[in-house]
Amino acid sequence: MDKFLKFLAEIMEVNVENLSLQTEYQSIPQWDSLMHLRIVAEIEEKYGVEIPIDEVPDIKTLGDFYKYISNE
Amino acid sequence: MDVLKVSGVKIRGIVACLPENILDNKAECSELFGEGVNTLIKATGINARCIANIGTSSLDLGVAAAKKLMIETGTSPEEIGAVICVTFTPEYLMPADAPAAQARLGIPNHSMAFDINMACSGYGYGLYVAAALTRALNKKVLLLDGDVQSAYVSRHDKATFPVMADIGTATMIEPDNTSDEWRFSFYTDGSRREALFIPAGGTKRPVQQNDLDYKEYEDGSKRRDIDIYMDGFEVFKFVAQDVSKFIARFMEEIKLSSESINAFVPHQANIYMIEQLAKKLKFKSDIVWKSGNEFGNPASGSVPLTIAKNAAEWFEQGKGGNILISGFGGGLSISVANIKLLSNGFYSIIHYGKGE
Repeated sequence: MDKFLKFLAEIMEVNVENLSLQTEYQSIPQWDSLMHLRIVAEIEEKYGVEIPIDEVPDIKTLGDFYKYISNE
Repeated sequence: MDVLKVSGVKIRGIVACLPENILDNKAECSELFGEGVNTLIKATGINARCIANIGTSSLDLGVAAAKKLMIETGTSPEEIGAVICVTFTPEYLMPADAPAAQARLGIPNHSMAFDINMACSGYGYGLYVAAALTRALNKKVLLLDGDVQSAYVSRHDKATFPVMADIGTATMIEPDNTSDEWRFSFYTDGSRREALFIPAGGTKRPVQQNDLDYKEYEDGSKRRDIDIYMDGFEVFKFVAQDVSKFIARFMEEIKLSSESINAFVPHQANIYMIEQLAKKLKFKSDIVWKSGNEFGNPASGSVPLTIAKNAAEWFEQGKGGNILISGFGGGLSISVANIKLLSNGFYSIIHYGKGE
């Protein structure tokens, strides 16, 4: 989980201490709609998982992203 | 779901006219996104965007495309019974662009000429109306679809600037009693219109002096109220959920399987979105036609631009023309159609002002 948050912190260019699985969409200025797509693309590439497009808008927290990789 | 059917018409050809500039998107967005520009390009898949010079209109581009199309298809102005312009960026708020297209192309005065303002879903609307008019008139109908969005895009806006582009296109629709039936369907949710709109400049909010000032927003974007506002997440949600469901339902309704389609031509919102949409609809990636990676998202003209870019080479490889097209966006609205492209049609891209 720590590695996952570090990975996201690098993408969003924020300090990892500012992130947790409870961090919500748009609660930090860096996580806007385009960043949302970037995160999906980066997770799919790094972890080899597929996040179906119709589920992407329902992802509200970093924990929602984490579910896709922790199920693997 | 209503399915509208038109038969007895065909597309004789489609020409897209690129504006003067093809800009490298990474270079253009590096100031706005800093080091994040690499992942931005990766996530959107838009490597370049075509942008018009200030003062070049979508009508200029569309008329240039139409001239090329008329020459190549041997169409004289007298054969054309109507001109339709699909655009939300006309040269003037009033009158419409289509009458000027009639005059510039020498189309007879007794012709019908009018605009359709539908933003990104517009090509399906234009094509349906043009097809119905072709039948009613038993004459050729010229459909110009294009926008110069850059006139309304703030270069400091993180949602719109990295994706939006300009284009002009021309499609010639002709009577043909031997042709296959075309099928269309449309979807509207006007309750969400403010997810993608231009706040000031209409009658609801006539332009005031302060609408010309750049305002700064939480995400660091800056734009004027006369610029396009897009709630990127709402629009993405619309595409991811409503559009994918609506297209799937349309295919089910007309009993069209993903294997029976030769090509899927979606509005080029961004490459990531169309690839995911195609995956959801179970289309193989090699039948998804693209142009957004090279030219950006030029609103409704993206569908005819994508056909103009891909069709000739596709038919050279001996592949079929049973295609599914779909536009989606402002309104919010969706158009979807199953049409037949002919291998002997004329499909081409030209560059504005390069002697064509």
